[in-house]
Formats: sequence, C-alpha cells, structure tokens
Amino acid sequence: MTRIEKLLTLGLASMGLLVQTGCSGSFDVPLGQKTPYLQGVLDPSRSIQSIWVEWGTPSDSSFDASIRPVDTSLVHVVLFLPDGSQAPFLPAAGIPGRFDVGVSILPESTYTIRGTVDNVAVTATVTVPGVLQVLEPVSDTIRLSAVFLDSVRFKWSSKQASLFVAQLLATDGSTQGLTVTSDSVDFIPVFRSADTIPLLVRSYEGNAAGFLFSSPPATSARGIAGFLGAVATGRRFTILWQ
Amino acid sequence: MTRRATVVLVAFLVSAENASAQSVVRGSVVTAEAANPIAAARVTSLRMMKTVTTDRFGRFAMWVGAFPDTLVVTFIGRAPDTVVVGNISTPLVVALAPAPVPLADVVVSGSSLSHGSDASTLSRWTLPADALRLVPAGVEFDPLRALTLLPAVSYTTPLSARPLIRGYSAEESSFRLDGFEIVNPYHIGRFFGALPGEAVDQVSVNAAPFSASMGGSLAGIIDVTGRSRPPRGKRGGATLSLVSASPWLSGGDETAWFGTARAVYLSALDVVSSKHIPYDFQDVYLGGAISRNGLPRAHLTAFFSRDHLLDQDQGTGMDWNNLLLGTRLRLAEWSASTLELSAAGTRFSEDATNVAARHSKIDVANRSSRIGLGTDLNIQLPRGRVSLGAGAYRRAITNQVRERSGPGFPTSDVALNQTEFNLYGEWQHEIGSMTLLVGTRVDAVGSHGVVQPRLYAGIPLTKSVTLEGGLGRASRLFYMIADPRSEPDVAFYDFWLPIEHNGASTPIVDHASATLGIVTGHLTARVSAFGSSAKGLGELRPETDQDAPAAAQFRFGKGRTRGLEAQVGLAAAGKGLPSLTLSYTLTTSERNWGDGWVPWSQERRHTARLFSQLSLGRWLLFSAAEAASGPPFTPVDQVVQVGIPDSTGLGRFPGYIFGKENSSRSAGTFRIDLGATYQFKGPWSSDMWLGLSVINVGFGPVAPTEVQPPDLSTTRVRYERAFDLPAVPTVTLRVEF
Repeated sequence: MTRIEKLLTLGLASMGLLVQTGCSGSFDVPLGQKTPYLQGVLDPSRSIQSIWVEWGTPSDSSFDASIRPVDTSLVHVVLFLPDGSQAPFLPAAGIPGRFDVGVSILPESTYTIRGTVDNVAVTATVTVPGVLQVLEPVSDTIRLSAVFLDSVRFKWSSKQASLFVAQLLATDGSTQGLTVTSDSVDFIPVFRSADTIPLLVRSYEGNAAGFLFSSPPATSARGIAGFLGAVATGRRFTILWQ
Repeated sequence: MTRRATVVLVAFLVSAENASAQSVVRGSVVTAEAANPIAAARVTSLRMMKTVTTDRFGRFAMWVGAFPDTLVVTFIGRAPDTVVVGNISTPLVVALAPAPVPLADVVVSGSSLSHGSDASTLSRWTLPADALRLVPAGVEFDPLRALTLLPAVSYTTPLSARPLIRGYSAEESSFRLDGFEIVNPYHIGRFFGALPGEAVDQVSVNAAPFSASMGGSLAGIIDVTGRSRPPRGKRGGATLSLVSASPWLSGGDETAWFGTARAVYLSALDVVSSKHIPYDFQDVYLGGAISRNGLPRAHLTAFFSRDHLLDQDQGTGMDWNNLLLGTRLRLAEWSASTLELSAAGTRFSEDATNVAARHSKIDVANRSSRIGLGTDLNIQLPRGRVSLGAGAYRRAITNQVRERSGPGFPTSDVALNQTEFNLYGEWQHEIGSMTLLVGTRVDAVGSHGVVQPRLYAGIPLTKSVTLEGGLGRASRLFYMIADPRSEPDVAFYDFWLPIEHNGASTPIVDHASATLGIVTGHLTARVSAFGSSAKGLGELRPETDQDAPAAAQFRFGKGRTRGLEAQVGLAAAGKGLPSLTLSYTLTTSERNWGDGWVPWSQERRHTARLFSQLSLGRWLLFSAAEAASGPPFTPVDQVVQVGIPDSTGLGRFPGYIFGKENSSRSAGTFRIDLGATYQFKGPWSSDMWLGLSVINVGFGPVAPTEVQPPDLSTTRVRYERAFDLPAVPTVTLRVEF
C-alpha cells in the first residue's frame, strides 16, 4: 500500500467513525409520568375561593384542553388565613377538579395552602395585590371614534401586582381582546366593533402572572407543579364607539 | 523601577545563574514579505539545545555559551530559517518567508515541545492568518470561526462565532486585540466575528492555566494580533465576498501603518433566513508600527465596529459598538532585558429594545469602558527568565434593564466604577533537562483581591517526546452574564454585575492540564488532559428552571470540567500528497446551581474532527469534517393546561412542566465543509486568490435538538432540531497590489 493509499484509508476510516459518532438521529427523553398540578387564584371580589387540581399529561402522550380531575379522595388541602385560622378546601359539587372554600380575601394579606395531593405534601403561599387604582381614564365610559383602531391610555397602580390585564369582552362574555403589561402607564389597543364593548381591567400578583402569562409557566407551588395566585378586584369600563 | 535598579536586578539574577562565558544574542523575527513582527516564533540554539519564544514585538534574547552557534527559527506557516551567529552585539533580524501551512504544525502549536522554551505556552496555540484561511469559509473568512482547527475550541452551532474553550462559555473567556481587552467582538447577533479578516495577522488561543502575565479571564484568552505593515511591494488590497467588501491600504517603512474597513452591501441574514431583516454593520481597523534599524519599538492599535439591527424607535432592535485605542512601547532595552509600557482605552456600548429574556421582554442599555496603563519587565537569564509586570485600570460599567412586559424581570440599574490593579511575577528555570516555571498574579479591586498562583513544568522524555504540565488559578473581578444558549436569535444582550452580587462568591477557577507531545518524521501527535474546579460562576437562569421566583433571573454556583484532547497530524511527504489532522475531544463539563451537579448546557461529550489538505499546483484544497455528540437539554416531564376554567375567562392553553435540568441528550451533529483556493497573478502585478467553499456540503444535522414551544394546535410534545442548515456556498476574491 502506498503512502497516499494509507492516508486515504485512514481518512475514510476516520470519516466513518465521525459519522458513527455524530450522525445518530436519536436522543434520549425519559418517559413521562402522570403527576398532579394545582391552580388557584384568590379573588377579593368573591365569597368563595377555588383551586383546581388536575392530572398533567405525560410528555409522551397526546394532550388537549379537557379537564383531567384528580379524584377527590386524593386531595386534602387547607387554606391558612392571615389570622392563623384555617379552612379546608372541599370538592365542588358537580364540578370535577374544583375544590372550594368559603372565605373572604383581604387585599395585601398573605394566604397559604398546605396539604397533600396524591400523598405528596403541597404548600403554596400568596400575597394578594392591593386595590387596583386606575388613575386614567377617569370616567367609566370611554368614548372612541377612530375608523379602524384606537387606543386607550391607562395609568394604574396596585401594590404587589406584577401584571395589569385588560380584557375586551364580547357580548357572550368571552374574551375578544387581551392586553397584558407590567407598565404602570400603557395603551390598550381597541379595534372598532360593536357600539358598546365592556372592558375589564385586573391586576395579578407574581405567582399568577408567572403561571398564567408565561411560557413555560413558572411554578410557585412546592411539592407539585402549579401555583396559588391572587387578583385584585377588577374594574369594569365601557367602550362606546361614536 | 529605575534603570539603575533594573541593571542591579539583572546583574544579580545573571550572576546567580552562573553566566560565566555566556553571551546574549538578541534579535527580531519578522515576516519576509512585510517585516511584520512574528510573536511566538521559536528560536532554538543547536549548540545549547534550548529554545526561546519571541515576544509581541517579535523580539528575543538568548544566552549562548560559545560561538559560533546556529539558531533555527521556526513559526507555523513560515519556512524555517537557520542563522549562524558569531559573538556580535548587533541585534539579528530574521525574516521568515511564507510557506504552505502544513496541518501538522497546528498540532505542534499547542505545545512547546522544546527544552527550555517558554513553559507558560503549555496550552497556547498561535495560528497565522494563512493557517486560519485554510478553514472553508462560511459567507466569508472569519478568524474566530476558523479556530475550529483547535480541539480545545468548540461552538454551539455552525452559526456561532463564539469560541467555547474547554467546557466554559464564551463570556468566561476574554478577547484581546494586540493584547488589549475588547468586549463582544461579534456581528449579527454572534454569527460573525467583528474583526475583519484582512486586519488579522495571527490569533493565539490560550487555554487556562495561562501565563501569570494574563488575567481577566476564567477559562481562556483569545488574542488577535493585527497587521501593521504593508507586504513587500504591495500597498493595497481587498477581499470581496458575496456580502461584504474589505479594502485595505498600507504604507511606510520604519514607521508603517495598515488600515482596513469592512462594509456590508447585502443583508447577510438573507443567507440564513428568508425573512428580510434590516441590518447593517461596519468595522474599521488601524494598526501602526514604529521601528528603529528594523527592530520594532512601538505599536499602535485602533479598532471600531458598529452594528445596527432593526429600529429601536420602531419598537424592537439593537445597536452596539466597540471602540479600542491602544499602544505598546518598548521603553528600554538592555542586553537581556526589556521594559515595555502599554496604554489602552476601550469602550463597548449595547442598546437592545424589546428583546426576550426568560419570561419577559426587556430593554437593555449597557456601557463598559476601561482605560489604564500596564508595564512589563522581561529579563532573559542564561537558564531561564524572569517576568514582572503591573497594571492599573479604571473600569466603568453601567447596566440598565427595563422590563417592557412579562411577569417580573426586575428593572435594575447597575453602576460600577472601580479601579483595578494587577501585579504579576514569573520565574522560569532549567533544572537539568526539566524546565520549571513558577508565577503568581494578583488582581485586586477595592477590598477584593485574588491571588492566582501558577506552576508549570516540562521535560523531554526522549528526543521526540515531551511531557508538560501546569496548574493555575484564574479569576475575574466582575460578572459578565449572557444567555448561554445557541444562536438562532439575532438579538443578544449581556448583564454586567459587580463581584459578590447578591452574596455570590468571587468567580475563581482552578485549572490543571498536562500534555504529551510527539514529533517524529511526518507524524505529530499531542494528547492533553485537562480539568478544572470553579466557584462563583453565574448565568441567566433558564426558563426551564420553573421553580425559581420569576424575579430571580440570575443564578450562581460551581463548575467542574475534565477532559482529554488527542490530535494526530500527518504532514505530506511530498508534493501532491495530502496532509491530515484528526482530533478527538472528550469533555465533561458540569455546573452545580445548588441542587446537585448537572451537565453544562453546551457540553459536547465527544467531538471528532478531521481536516485534510492537498496542494495541486496553484490549487489548495481543504476539507473539514466534524461529528459531535449532542449537547444536553431539559426534557418535558408533563403537560398542564394553563388557565382556570371558570374564573378568569382567559382560556386554557398547554404549558410544559420540565423535568430534571439537562437530563436528556440532543441528537448528534455532523457536517462536512469543503474549500479550495486558486492563486494567480492579476493585472498590474497584483496577486489574487479565488476562494470557493461550501459549508455543510451534505446538508447534515448541525443544530441541537430542542423542545418546540406549545401552541393551541399542539397535541403532542415535539422535539426538533433548532434549525436546518442547508449547504452554504461561498465565493471570495482576495487581491493584493
């Protein structure tokens, strides 16, 4: 074998090794397991507070938006109030996956849930944001006149809040437009539609903001995935197109 | 230090080394075509069987026992020269003519492999621009991307120009231009280096542990030496590629200058993206050299680069620029010692608007500047050398982060004004056939000081086998944190933080490495083992770390690396025969952010590279192949439906809950690049080089596997490669006239 043949042989053999090393198209992903997760938003405007406890979908399975409730016998969770008292979450009648407790929530107060889900210890804590102060616009009725698209300047504040959320609601109550911002002054875009549109403005603290408005969600519950968050009492405006 | 004190010190050290009957030969090694100083050239005395290495001015001094002696001068990409020296006091000027760069020399470059040579070059590779030009260009020649020749260097993907050195991120290494610190020398996100190819004379890569004269880096230092003189008989030239033009002009003799600029005339991004993204950049390099009697005495460096991406006033975009002004003076020179003074000012500015960072969109405004003086005293001894140095620099950093949207990337203002001092000393001594080097460096700012001891030893085991080893500590007295992931995003940003931010410890990395080098006939081989232990490392917390508070955007912890590099080079035995290098790198790099050790996000466990080169008349053909195991990634553990069914009216959408960090491995990557250069004479006695290359000629898989984000139509978790890279052809034309 000549020297050039040896070199070429070495080169080809090396290339084969390289292909073997690098060209493998497979990769390892562990098989998913069925584990529960928890979501809850405390709302001072409501007399009943709810959490939802569902099964996640293993990563190797297909998924959809349907509710996969955790059996009520596996959920034992208690809400600890700021004064040290506690109230258990109980299964909501006829609503699989939901657990309710009848308590009023105070702004700027801290609440904790503790318990077990599927025999796993769970804790989550939240501080409710302060009352939402909307400094602009002043009036509850906002008059707009643009042909196609207009905007409304909002100036707002709420202690402990991370995000302000403005929801334009359709006549059936569904969300027609959504603006999410952390700025204390921002503009809400509004497309011309019906003569009158309800606009609901709310503020969420960090746990809810991190889970509901992030991808991937930031989970603040401990023990299982999920969060206990809170929202400030919202304020409703009316958009009036002229 | 006064001249008298220096003379006394030299006299003491020389007498201590029993210099009787020895004389000093001084000289300078320059390129034959341009008289450019060649740094890191090896000068070997055949009678004494010892080697010294040229300094940044291409200068050397060597103690010789008897005359006549024969000096052999070598440097990669240059024909060796042999000089017989008598007992003369006039400094020598050795001009090395250009020669085809054999790939095997790249292997040798990583090891001193000679008795008595500078032991602190244990893990230093010095590559001339001609060697780097061998690597098939992607879009155009890029000296930073061409460092793929070195097994110690890896990249996240072929789209990246950020060299990762031995298991550490690019931010944990640092860049120098003519020895002066520069920050983020990149264009187009980090796809290309900001230094125009025509400006580059050579690039050295120093993997830690490096010389005590080097600091400000945790893992490695990439030092680009710029051109400062015209090639003989040439006054200008240019490189044209499909996307840019880089003209250069040069002139002078004893006082010489070189200037080049690069302008982009097509949207380079269109090459990798069908979307037209408004983008432009420019860069300018100016180098100057002052010599006396052919011996370099001073060097001047000026560099400016500017990038403009999208329009910030339109809602999103990024602008950044770099400025460097530096000078290095040979203040004094005695028979075997030199005293140098350097002064430099650098400024980096970066404004990013509405860029994604973790769960938020943020605006970032960064300013970094550094100005100061340094001095270096080098004393060549009959059986070694002593190097001493000190520096004082004023560093000013502002880092403003403004959250635009998202759940909690806190608005912050970091203002850092600090005076940095450094002091180092290094002593190299030959004990029998062994070369020993001990050094210490102290970096200090305010009340913080870090002592960084360094130790090297080398011994020839046989005539052709050398064993070397080194230990050393490295530190940097501020944090520079960037997104460690690969480069599909054009916009990028950094966070600058003072040391011990939020209780984090000062970044310190202890390194160890050992190298076995073999040179025999046409075969060159090198095997290096390396390892390190780090604390105080910082990085942007990945979004897959979902348990952390949204506002905890940074994390700090420990690191450790270990690995092995094996490289074999076969030089061509004759004309028309190919030469090859084959390298294999095994790297384990891990981080501990407080929850146990996890693989580093850019760890490539196995990397193999094959380069081959064939000269056929005026054609020079080159091929490169790289195969690597995939980097780790964090898998999805389960999918949840985000949103509360009946209270918010926000709807539900799928959200991923991730499993253990970096517990899965991406699929491997593989690519082949081909290149050819045709050299010919152009009009008016000009020299021309036509370059043809194709990157990823086989449309191979080059990107790591990533989890694809969910959307409302998603019904399964999808893992796909971050991008597909088609074969990228490149045509370049270089001309010198």
